[in-house]
Amino acid sequence: MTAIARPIGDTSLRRTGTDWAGLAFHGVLLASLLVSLLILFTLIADVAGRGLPILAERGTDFLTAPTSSRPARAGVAQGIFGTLMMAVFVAIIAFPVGIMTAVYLEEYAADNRLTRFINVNIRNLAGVPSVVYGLLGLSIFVISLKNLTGGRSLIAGGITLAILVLPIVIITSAEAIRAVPRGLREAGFGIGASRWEVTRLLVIPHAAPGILTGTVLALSRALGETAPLILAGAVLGGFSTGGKDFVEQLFGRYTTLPVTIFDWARRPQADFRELTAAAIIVLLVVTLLANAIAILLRNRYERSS
Amino acid sequence: MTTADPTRSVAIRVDRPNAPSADAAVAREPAVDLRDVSVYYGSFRAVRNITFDAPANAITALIGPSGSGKSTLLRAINRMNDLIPGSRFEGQILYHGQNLYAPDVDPVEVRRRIGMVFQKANPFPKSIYDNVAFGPRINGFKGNLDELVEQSLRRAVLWDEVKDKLKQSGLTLSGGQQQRLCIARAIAVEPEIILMDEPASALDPRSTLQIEELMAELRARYTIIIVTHNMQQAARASDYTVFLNMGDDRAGYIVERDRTIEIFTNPKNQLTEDYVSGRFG
Amino acid sequence: MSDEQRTPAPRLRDAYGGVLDDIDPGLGLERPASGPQPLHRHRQTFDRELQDVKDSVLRMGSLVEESIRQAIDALVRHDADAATAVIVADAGINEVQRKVSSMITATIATQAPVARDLRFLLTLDHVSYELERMGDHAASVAKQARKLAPEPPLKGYVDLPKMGDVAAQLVHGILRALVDVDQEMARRVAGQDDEMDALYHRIFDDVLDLMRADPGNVERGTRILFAAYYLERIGDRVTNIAEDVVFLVTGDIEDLNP
Repeated sequence: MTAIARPIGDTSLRRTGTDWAGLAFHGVLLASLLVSLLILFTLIADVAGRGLPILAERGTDFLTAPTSSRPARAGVAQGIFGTLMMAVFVAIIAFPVGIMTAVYLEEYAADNRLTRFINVNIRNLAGVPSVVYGLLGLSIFVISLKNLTGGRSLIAGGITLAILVLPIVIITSAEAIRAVPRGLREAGFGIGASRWEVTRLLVIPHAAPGILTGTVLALSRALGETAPLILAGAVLGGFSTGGKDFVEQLFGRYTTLPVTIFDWARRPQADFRELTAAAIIVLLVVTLLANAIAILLRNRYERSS
Repeated sequence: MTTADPTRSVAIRVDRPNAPSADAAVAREPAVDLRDVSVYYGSFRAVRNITFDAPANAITALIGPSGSGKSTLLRAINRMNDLIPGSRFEGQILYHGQNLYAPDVDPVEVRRRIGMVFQKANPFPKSIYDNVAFGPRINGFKGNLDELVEQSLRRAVLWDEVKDKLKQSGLTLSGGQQQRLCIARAIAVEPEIILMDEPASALDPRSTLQIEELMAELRARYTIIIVTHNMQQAARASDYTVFLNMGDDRAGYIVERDRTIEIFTNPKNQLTEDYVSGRFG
Repeated sequence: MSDEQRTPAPRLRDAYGGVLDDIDPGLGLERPASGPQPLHRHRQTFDRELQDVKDSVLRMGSLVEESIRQAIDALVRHDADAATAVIVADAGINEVQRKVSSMITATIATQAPVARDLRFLLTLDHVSYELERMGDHAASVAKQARKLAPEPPLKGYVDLPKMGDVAAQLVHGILRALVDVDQEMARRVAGQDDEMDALYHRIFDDVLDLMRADPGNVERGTRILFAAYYLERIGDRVTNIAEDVVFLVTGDIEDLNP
């Protein structure tokens, strides 16, 4: 607010000149918004422009065909499968472990140096570049535990990705739990609930929306990761999954949509440009769907409680 | 109006009644008996050497200026301080002859027998019914839950206002109603003692009076110990008053403890006199 | 509020227990059905305490009325023992007054009444003081009655019994006016005090004549004069209470005893 001094004794309420700084600030904000929208729009327009024709032309064939070195036949089926499986792994490993860790850290752990040390380190882990997780996955799950996981397998990749997003789940869940008002816990203790009852029946339900939001974030992150999976053994190039049953596929080679996109983007053939764009569209759709389902579940939970 | 004889109207000494019924009232069995209680947060002593008892089926008020440790003391009675890391307790609190702080005593059990209502009403984000039913459910109540909920809401003088909307969230009620809901919730687990930490300080005057009237009705069944910074409330509503003050060592101590009528008409301690007449604090 | 519904305020009962129990119910002084009723249940405790104080004052009034009648009765029947009983009972009235005063102090201190409630309580405090003095006066009459008992009556105690009766009626009437907070009734009762004054003057003249006629009448005559004086003082105090009732209603101080 411009501090335009008024002469003493002037009691008029009228504006004494324009608030230039305010207007400029407003303008800058608007401009930033427009730039962001412009970038977003350009990306989408570019991708859509290239990819939509392919989808229109090849339709379900594109979605059900395995990857191939021939553009006309290449499809994203394996990619979709791999991405969905990654989502499953993240859901069954990262979510429970992450949420329970957060519950422990917030509700049960004493506030001492060790706990604070752990918290700081988890935050650091969230900031570690995902490539490093790829290396971790490679050295432990692909190589050392080769007998258990089958080497460069879906399982190894899934576990690696779950570990990658674990810190995110922990941190967001912990935030959500910390945001539960103290009065709620006090009320629970006040009528003779044990710590376990307070946590289970009061704290977690109250923090659930925040926790679920965290899981949505983690899922989005996981579905988009490329580099760590490449390191941890996802296939670049073609491979066959024909004839394998589900369990065999778990322990066998795999790929995901982002990896497929990376693979196709490197190919020299011009046709692969369009295919890449089409695959990007599919990835976006899958991610949006996954998020939408998660948000739907969260809203359904919120309404029912 | 002709004035009363001036020699009669000042410094009225309150007579000690000789009637047997009055003596019986004094000799009520205490609901809780605090002996030489001190509470520490880390190395800081919040209250020291507190000794008093709260008679059963009566309302005892803890009054005193800020920092005198009233809330700390109240929370010591139902072991809520246990939840604060670094808190330490010395002394004894006897309840039916048992020391609440004996090593084999389960604080959860203590809190079932000694309920608490907080300054800011904190109903659960659940329906009104579920709020009241929460306590009984976690205690494995096997009887008629509907009946228990209704009885608790009736005793908290809330039933008529909410009987048609038991499924609505407790948070949709007004401040005064929420507080009564919290009282109903506390009553539902059938405690013996109800602790109230400034229950009406966040409410408007009308709701405050409602809560006070409710307390007057509740004392037939429960013992009530209330912390209040509102002296007039203590004067209006309580039977016994404990006056705490903050000492030079920043620890709270008991200055005087007596029948409320005595404290407000003829206190024995000059400090009490100054406090209740508003000359300090 | 009906009798059955009403339980006395617990903490006044605890502190001053027995004020309401120790005394016999009054001489037909029913609880008023009229008068300000509580509008809502917000200050039930305070209302109960107020009611307790009022009850105590009323019962005290009944005791005083009884004392007056019994003193005159002892006089007329030459019953020294009955007179002594009245004198002893006065100690009880004094005790009740102290308790009532304490109750009022306690209620004012703890309930912080304002406006009409406060004026009412202060009025009741003053009334209890006046009643206590009236009790003393009745005891003084009884003392004279005791001294007069062994002697033969002096001209049927002239108009003393009538005066005693009027005094008792005045007390009854003013208590009624107080309970109903009825200033018209209070004024009427205060007006009746004129009758007391007239009786007093007649007794004064009659007794003086009797004493002039025969020196042997002097002792009895003097005692009768004292008794009449005390009864007349009772009448004055009733007028004081009437002024209180008027003040309670109008907020104005009026002299009803010119």
